[in-house]
Amino acid sequence: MTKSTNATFAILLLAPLVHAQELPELLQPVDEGKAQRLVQYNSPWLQAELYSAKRSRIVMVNSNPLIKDDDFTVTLFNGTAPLQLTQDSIQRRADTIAWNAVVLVDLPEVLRRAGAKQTVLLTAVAWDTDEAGRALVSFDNRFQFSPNWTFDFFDRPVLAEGQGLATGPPPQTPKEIARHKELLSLNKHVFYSVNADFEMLFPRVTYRLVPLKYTPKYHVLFEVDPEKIVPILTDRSPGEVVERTPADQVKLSNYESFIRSLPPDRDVLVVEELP
Amino acid sequence: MKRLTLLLALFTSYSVTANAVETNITILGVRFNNSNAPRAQVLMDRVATSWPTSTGTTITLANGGSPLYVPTTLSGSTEVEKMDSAKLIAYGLNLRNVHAADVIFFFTDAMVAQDNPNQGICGWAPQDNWTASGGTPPVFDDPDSDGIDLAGSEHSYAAIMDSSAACSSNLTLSLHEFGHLFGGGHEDTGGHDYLYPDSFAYLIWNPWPYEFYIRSNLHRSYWVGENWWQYSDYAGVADNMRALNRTALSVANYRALYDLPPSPPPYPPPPPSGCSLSTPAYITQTLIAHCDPPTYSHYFLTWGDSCPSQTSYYQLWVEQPVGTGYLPDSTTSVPYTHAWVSGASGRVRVQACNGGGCSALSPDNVLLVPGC
Repeated sequence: MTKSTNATFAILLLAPLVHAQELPELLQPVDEGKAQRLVQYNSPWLQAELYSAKRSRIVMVNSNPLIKDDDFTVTLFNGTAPLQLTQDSIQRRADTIAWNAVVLVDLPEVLRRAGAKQTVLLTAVAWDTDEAGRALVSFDNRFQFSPNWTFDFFDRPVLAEGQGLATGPPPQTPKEIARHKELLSLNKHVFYSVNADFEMLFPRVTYRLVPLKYTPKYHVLFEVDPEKIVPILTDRSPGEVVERTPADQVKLSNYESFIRSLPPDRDVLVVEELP
Repeated sequence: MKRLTLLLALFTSYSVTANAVETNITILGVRFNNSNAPRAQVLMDRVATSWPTSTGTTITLANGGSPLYVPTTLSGSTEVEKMDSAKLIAYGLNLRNVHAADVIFFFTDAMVAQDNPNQGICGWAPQDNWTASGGTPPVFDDPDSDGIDLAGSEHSYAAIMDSSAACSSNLTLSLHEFGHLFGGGHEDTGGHDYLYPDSFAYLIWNPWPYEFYIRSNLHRSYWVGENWWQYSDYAGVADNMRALNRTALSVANYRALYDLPPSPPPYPPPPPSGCSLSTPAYITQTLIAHCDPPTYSHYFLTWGDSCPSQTSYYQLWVEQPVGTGYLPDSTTSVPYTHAWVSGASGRVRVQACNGGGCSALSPDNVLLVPGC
């Protein structure tokens, strides 16, 4: 190998690292005080969610790279090297984005030669908010009638000013009218929540990103403890006998005892920001 | 008595379009109360993004790619009870036809196993088709001239999944259940590598440890049980390409494309034609079938309206059980509807409505008697 070839090789290796420093970061920190309040607000749901966690942190998600199709980095925990992700495929829909990413990592030669790549599916879901600050998943709030239809004092349908012909009939029944008014009052696509599982191979560790149930603008990121994965039954075929190992039976019993020990999930509002 | 036991559904006159063989599998997600909406979306996306482009069959997620929310709590606690409840609701709402859905994914909260209520279970996808015992030559039950077998189209089209936290560790839950709908089975203790040979969905012991983690254009995997349900085309491996080609083609034709319902009348309605809003009368009932679906008797109702031009919609009122008083039920823009009854007998009356108000309730009523 000549000197010049060596130099080229070194530049190729460095290039992704230099590039990574300029990329936007997906996970944004949340200050400790606010994180504590989010944990409280989402408990006991969060306690159940984190049953299999080895460590966790509360984060916000910067959804801009997913919206703009930019490459980005993911820094999972302090001390872990940032992962660089680039788009492999995408399904962009009215209220969701399925962003299938390739993680730029060094794979063993045998895998690389087979054309293998490590992927992560990031599923982004848009959320709306109402006047009270409640957060509502956007795909449950699609207009059934043209949003150009509004109502006068007597609840008679009228076209919004500046609109020409209606793009279909107006809501007519009291139920349709009430629902249409409700939809008109929402702030649409205020933020996105993101679900993702980062399955690292070398070493083999899984990190899970989950939106908080009652404050889905914020997320919990946790490292899965393989020893505490709940061996819950996937399903069974008719007549199939499922035999658990004693170790799995103990794991399942421990999990069930833990769930039973939790207070009932509180009936709190799903909100964009804490009250 | 739950009011859900008498279902009134709006049906317009859909007509089946004569189609050639379809090559697209349409999956409709339906989520009920207490399901986790973002996780339901993840489970749907996993199937759509993992599907190989090389099979000749494509996948489309219905309802704009997102699960449809039906604000109802499924009855029962086991996977079997909840599946029955979900199918009944989907049937009543005509969801498969409206969305031309070949396959439905139902999303719910925690379930327990039918034969062990102390044991949680994450999913179920009953597959009654392509279940010949091991050793049977792998042929379709009843293929048509195109090689399409629709024998399972009315009973083996749905999977139900728990979208709560306990099952989230199973990243491949939706792929697993989807695999069952193609005939893929768990390990067979009888020495076979598969349970459902007629599907061609052979089960292969994992020959390579990284398929799930690393997907390439050479090796992709759908997971069933502790093993990989592979659709590799490299030599020496049982031919799951056939499952992904031929079985998939049958599944793609479970529901034909339907004509869209006719457009609603233009607004505002035409000027009065000399008559005014009238009280509907002469309600008739026709029994379609008992136990259609199971536990329900299926009726078709019609009524007369002497001034339909002034009616925007009809409000149906239901009294069930008889003697308990009428309560408002569903609405329809046409003077007919389908109705299902189970449990106690019920009576139905109708009123006509428009923007100015509603007529009186119809003087007559029909009595719907469950007979299943």
